[in-house]
Amino acid sequence: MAFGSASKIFRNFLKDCHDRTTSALDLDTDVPKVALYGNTGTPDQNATAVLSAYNGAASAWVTANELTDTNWAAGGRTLGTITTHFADTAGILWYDAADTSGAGNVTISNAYGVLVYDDTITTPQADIGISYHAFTTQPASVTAGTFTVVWDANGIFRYTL
Amino acid sequence: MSEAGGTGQAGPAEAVTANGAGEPLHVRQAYALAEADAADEVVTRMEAKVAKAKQAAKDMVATATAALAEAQAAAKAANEHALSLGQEEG
Repeated sequence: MAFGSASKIFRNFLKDCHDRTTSALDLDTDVPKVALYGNTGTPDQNATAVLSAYNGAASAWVTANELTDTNWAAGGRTLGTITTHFADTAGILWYDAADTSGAGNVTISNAYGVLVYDDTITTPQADIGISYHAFTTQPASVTAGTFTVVWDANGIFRYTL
Repeated sequence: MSEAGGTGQAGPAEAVTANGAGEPLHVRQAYALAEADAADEVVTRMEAKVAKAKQAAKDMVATATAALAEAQAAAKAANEHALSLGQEEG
């Protein structure tokens, strides 16, 4: 049981985009969150809706596996300055946001990666997962200092068609 | 993604940290302002979501209603055709 080094889009998220099982899904307006995790729990890109969701029962994303601080509270930090590049680049769709930081100085030990989930969605599965991201350097720790998740130059996720 | 050879990737993330960064008043003020900006951004996005949801609901009802009328007309025509063939045979 380990976070691993892979970063993946959840298959269930793409399924929902296509079949509208989660009809309220709209990345143009939804506000995802970024939750921090240690090395307990194994992410699975093929997980079902509940197993990809934040605090989904018996998932890798239960709060027991989450890392928190006063300034990086349970549930995670809100993704900010979101930019959806769904129609501006030929052959590519991508989704990006500003790097994600704590609300102040944080103390976090042994963070291995993050879950990005749609905090706006409440039904049929609340907080469905969008993607998970392993840190390039694991683990990451900080004591009473700044902690920033720096997103990849290619964005949080990208489809090349 | 939608064509053979397409790919979809979630990018890796990097955790950048600085121990003991300190939080003098001006730093706390900057954090507070960033939090306020973030909260305002969420409100803006939710207002847009409500507007889109209202329009989407209208569009879905109109689309479904039109599709129903079309299906009913096609079914009526098919049944009438089947009936006429049956009468011809009789």
